[in-house]
Amino acid sequence: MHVLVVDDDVVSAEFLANTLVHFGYEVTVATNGREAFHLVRSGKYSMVISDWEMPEMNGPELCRQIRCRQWSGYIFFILITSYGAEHVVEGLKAGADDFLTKPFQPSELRVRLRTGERILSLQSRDVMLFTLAKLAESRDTDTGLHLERIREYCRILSEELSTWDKYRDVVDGDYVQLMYLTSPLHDIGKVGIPDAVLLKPGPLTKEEFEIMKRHVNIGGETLAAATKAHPDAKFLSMARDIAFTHHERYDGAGYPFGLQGKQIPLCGRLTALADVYDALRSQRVYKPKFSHEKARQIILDGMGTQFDPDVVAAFLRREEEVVRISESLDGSAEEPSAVHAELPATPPEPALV
Amino acid sequence: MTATQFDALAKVINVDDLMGRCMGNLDFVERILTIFQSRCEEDLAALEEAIQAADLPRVQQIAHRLKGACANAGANNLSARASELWTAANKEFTDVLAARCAQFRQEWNECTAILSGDESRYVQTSLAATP
Repeated sequence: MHVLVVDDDVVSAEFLANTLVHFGYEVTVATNGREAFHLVRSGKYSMVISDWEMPEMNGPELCRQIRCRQWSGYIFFILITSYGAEHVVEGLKAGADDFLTKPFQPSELRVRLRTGERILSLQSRDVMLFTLAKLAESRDTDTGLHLERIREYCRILSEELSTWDKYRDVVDGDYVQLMYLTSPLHDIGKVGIPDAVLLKPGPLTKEEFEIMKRHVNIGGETLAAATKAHPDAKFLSMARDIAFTHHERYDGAGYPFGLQGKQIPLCGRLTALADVYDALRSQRVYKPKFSHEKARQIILDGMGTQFDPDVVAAFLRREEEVVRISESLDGSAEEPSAVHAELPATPPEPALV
Repeated sequence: MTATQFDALAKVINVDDLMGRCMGNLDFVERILTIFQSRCEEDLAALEEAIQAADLPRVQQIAHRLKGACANAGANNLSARASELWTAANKEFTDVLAARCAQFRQEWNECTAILSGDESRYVQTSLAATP
């Protein structure tokens, strides 16, 4: 494991580096927060041990900068301080995971590193969740990088809402992270849909569509059972809500419950828009790939009927990022725009016979 | 290191603590003390300049770094002196900074004399400091 040591005091840095090497870690030393942040962006470090007081950028500021950005994995942050309890509170507010006091004892450092490793190992849970979602998706061959895009759209949309006053107490960093983690499970219930329906190369009959709709109950009930067994696992309850409600509509005309407006959990409202946008921007057996402009217009037409107006507003505010994700995680070619003009502008439910 | 040298070193460095934190590795102890000597000398010179220029933020920054470096090297008395300097700078007690820094300089010279094995210099420094 790579550890980044950040300290402008070379004696302290040398101590830390040597002790860490002795414990079997690979170590890089930075002498201030700015240099450290540049190194963290390489994605190489999952653990940072930083001094508090430093020139250019201090330890808590470095921690804040790291916490307000998305990384491929969690970064465990240990702050070194020789100050009192009020600084511990400030450090925790900045997002530090643990503290060391100068001069540190190697045995204490070792214990704190093990705590960090234990927390980092939880990431394997995240990997398992995504693997499960990919496994469910693997039967459906025309979705490409759908899950990768969905979780990015959900992250962007929830991140946007987290900056709004009215969502301040609902959507925080933890919520954004959970959205990113659990939104790929929205269609996990498709594992229970027969091949004849799921893989049908043409339009679905009314009966087949009813069978297809069952995927929300299959997924929701499976995750509800898991939530019941682990009621404290917030990621499971959010995954359950998403699986159950991502086909609900804001006007109450969706399925499976016909929930309306704010009765639909926010995570479901967010995933609904992300899912529809992605379907519009993807080629399906029953439709070509739509341009962003056309997909955007369909989303706007559904504002207040199919979609929560706040979520649509968030989508518009972060439109450029959405397009960037759509393009960077896309392997397919767009249909010529002339074809788009001839097609009806409908949301991408599978076509019925 | 002779017993006499060790006894002299023990006057300025908490040797047991330093050895423990270096996990008994003598090469590591030596490397730390070498870095400690060179870096603190630079910092002390910069501190004296900052005090002369009445640059309080810089005094705070260097005093804080010296405090940590001395504590890490097991030079606990020096660390306490640096802490006093840092507190004085924090509270803007500018009138005491020069005197506290001179005291730090004197103890630092004694410490480095011992670390360099130049005990005669240490004795001379001690005598010179006696009123």
